[in-house]
Amino acid sequence: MTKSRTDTTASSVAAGVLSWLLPGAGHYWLGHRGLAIVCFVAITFPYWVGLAFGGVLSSVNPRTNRWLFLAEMGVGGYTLGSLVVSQSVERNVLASAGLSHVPDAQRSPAEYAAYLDAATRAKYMSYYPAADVAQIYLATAGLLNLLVILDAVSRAQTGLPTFQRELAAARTEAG
Amino acid sequence: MLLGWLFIHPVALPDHWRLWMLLPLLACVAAVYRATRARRAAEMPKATVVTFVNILLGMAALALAFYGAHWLVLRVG
Repeated sequence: MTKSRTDTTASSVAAGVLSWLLPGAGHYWLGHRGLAIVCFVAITFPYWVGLAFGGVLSSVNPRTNRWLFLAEMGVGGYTLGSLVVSQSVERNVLASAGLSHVPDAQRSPAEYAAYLDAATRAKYMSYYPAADVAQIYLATAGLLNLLVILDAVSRAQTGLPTFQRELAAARTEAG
Repeated sequence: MLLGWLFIHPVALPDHWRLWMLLPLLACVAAVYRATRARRAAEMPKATVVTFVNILLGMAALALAFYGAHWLVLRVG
């Protein structure tokens, strides 16, 4: 009994972590190949389309857009890789603007304007309407993957998706 | 190389595309929502289409309601 519970916990954690690293990987590991492909496509598509319209510098940057970054972290594997590239691009922009760090827009508006100017001249920045679409796509992809992670954990524990598990519990209580 | 360029330098989005970008995103939302409720992938296509249409009609109804409220406020105010 204890061993079975330990196994369930281990497979739940593994399914959750795999889904966090790569959308659908948890489902694939659990044997739900079709659902894994659906989850992979339905999250990978909006994530990379959003990144293409937003650009990695402004879209994956915890210093300049922390709430968006938090939502994107729902797809950890993609976001961590993008963050490495974003930091590298940011260092290039800072060097070309003669700055040591990203200035605060409120405290040092002139320095922040210089940072934006350098990023815009190098064609790293995205503005309306592409930036709006990018943020919506990226945040939606990250938050949707949270659903996928929870579903993978639920299936690892009971073999049923969350909704079906609730139905099964209701049927047991009614019966 | 091309992929790197694509994600480092943002792609321009024509103004009139902004509204149409809603459709693929809605399809993805409907697919993931249905994937978290289906036992097997075979149950998904019809349910996904129904959810997609429901969300789209719901959002269109909301947009119309807000447009009507905006029109009323301008008319009365």
